[in-house]
Amino acid sequence: MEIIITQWALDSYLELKAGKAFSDEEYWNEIRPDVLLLQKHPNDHKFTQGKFWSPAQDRNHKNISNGYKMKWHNKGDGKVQLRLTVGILDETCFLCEAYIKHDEKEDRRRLAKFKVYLELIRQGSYTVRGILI
Amino acid sequence: MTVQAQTKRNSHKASKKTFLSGSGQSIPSEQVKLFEIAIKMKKSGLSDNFITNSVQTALKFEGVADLMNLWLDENDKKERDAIVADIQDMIDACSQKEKSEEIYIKFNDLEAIAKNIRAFKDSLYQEVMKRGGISKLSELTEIPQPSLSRFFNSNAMPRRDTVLRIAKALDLNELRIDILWSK
Repeated sequence: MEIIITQWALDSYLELKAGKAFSDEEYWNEIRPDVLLLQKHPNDHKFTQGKFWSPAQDRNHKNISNGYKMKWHNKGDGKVQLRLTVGILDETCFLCEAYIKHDEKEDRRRLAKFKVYLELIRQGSYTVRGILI
Repeated sequence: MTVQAQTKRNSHKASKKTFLSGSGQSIPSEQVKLFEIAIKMKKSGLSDNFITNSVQTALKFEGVADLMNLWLDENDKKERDAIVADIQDMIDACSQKEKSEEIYIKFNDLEAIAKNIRAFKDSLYQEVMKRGGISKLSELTEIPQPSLSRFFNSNAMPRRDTVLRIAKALDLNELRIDILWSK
């Protein structure tokens, strides 16, 4: 499956990188390899682990259509909870936004935005910044 | 392009489902609630321009309606400001009408790009401070203050539209912005 890097994903990477949300070692040894697993989604055992991968839900706990969350725990010096929202539409993977989950409020805001991103992808109104290979 | 590939590309659009048709709750009551939130936004001092754009976008995008509802339920000012900045980000995102492919950036170039973005925003911020600060800029551009604060504090690529609005408001005749690290 092709993994598309959207403008939103690139912006969020720049933000997290500047904030030292994760170390270079964590990025290369854990985060990037995990994201590359999406190429063979759902055929990897990690996609069955709820602590790593789950459907995204909105503020009413309703599943967001085509939306998923990839999760990492205790990353960087701040031991933060990292999230990456991923849209899977027609066997194409769209990396949408990575963020630190400070609390539940932050999560709800990000997931509301994620709904908008998915709708824009469905409409074909988004910006591609690269393909992850 | 093969017929199969063409079908696959168009199928993103085929599943188009908006807030207007996809909400599980009664549509008129959801819409009326947005107008009620708009009135509360007005009372809180948000600009007419921002409120109008918020409602118009929320009527088409359920996620923006969710953000407006989160704003209503929130009492903490800092959190409310974050939601306002999110709504403005979504209004901007929803103004894009077609797919665009910007220049692909090599991973090894990202660090230099991040530095360029930071330098650009810091330099522009100095101009803003010389001309009355963020509050004044918000009045001139009708961009909410929380959005402007996020613009200058974040390390995301600057939107060319936003930079242009700021430049016009401040009467800046010359701003160098690189297409590689703007959007």
